[in-house]
Amino acid sequence: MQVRERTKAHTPEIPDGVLVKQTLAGDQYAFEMLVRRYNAPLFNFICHCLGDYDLACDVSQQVFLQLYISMPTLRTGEPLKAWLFQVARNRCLDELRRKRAIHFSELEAGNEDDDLSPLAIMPDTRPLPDEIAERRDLQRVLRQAIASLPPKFRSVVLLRYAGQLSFSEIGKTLNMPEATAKTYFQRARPLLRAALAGQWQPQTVPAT
Amino acid sequence: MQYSHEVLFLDEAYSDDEIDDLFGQLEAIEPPTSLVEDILNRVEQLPFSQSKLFMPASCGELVVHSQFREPS
Repeated sequence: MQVRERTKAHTPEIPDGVLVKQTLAGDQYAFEMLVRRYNAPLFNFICHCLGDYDLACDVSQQVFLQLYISMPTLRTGEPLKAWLFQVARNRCLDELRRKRAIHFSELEAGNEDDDLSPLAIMPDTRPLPDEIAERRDLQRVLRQAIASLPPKFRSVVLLRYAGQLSFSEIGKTLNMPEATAKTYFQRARPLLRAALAGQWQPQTVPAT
Repeated sequence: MQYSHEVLFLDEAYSDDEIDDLFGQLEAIEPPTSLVEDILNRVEQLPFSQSKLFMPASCGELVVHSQFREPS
């Protein structure tokens, strides 16, 4: 399976554990390196979860504040990436529970699954070229398909596609065995297929 | 690969690879360029007891803030 690597803005690879130790030793630049390493993939995941760009900014800040405050008590050997995404997911769930009723009333589309679509909160009424319009349609369909999943499958799928996590990392993030994460992902696929088949389908280019 | 809105029978729709390929096109939403600075500024604004958790090492030993020290 190929999952496109879209966000790999990494500084030279000083291990996370070393940066944590350096931060604990008073090196604030080490903390900044951790922030720069993970802020983009975390933000992408959070924004896809919440469907709210501004709120995703707030939640992202909260996650890194939590990291800073929790750093002295982080368990050694615990993968930092999984910890960060776990905190991010929990914060997103808290926000979704808190805002769900208000958010539904503000959605233009009126579909209860659109609360996970950033498109619902970034309207653009200008006429768009066909290609751009089709691309935006695809993004909307993809997000709606993910939003239609049962929550336990949705988390795995979002961590995989939006967070670019391995199944091992997903398992650690969601406190489940890696095999369970893989199983949930495999079980989500037919549901995604069903969600797409009604709205989007690949078309093979005819041979010339 | 081109896409249309025609409906296919479900078993003629996407293979696993096609599903992965499609969702691999899920747009990466970039954070604002100011996010890193905003985070670092908020850390700076933490109350003193939290912002100064980390003390420079002395004599090769890590000094742990009393808030996190194990009770004696």
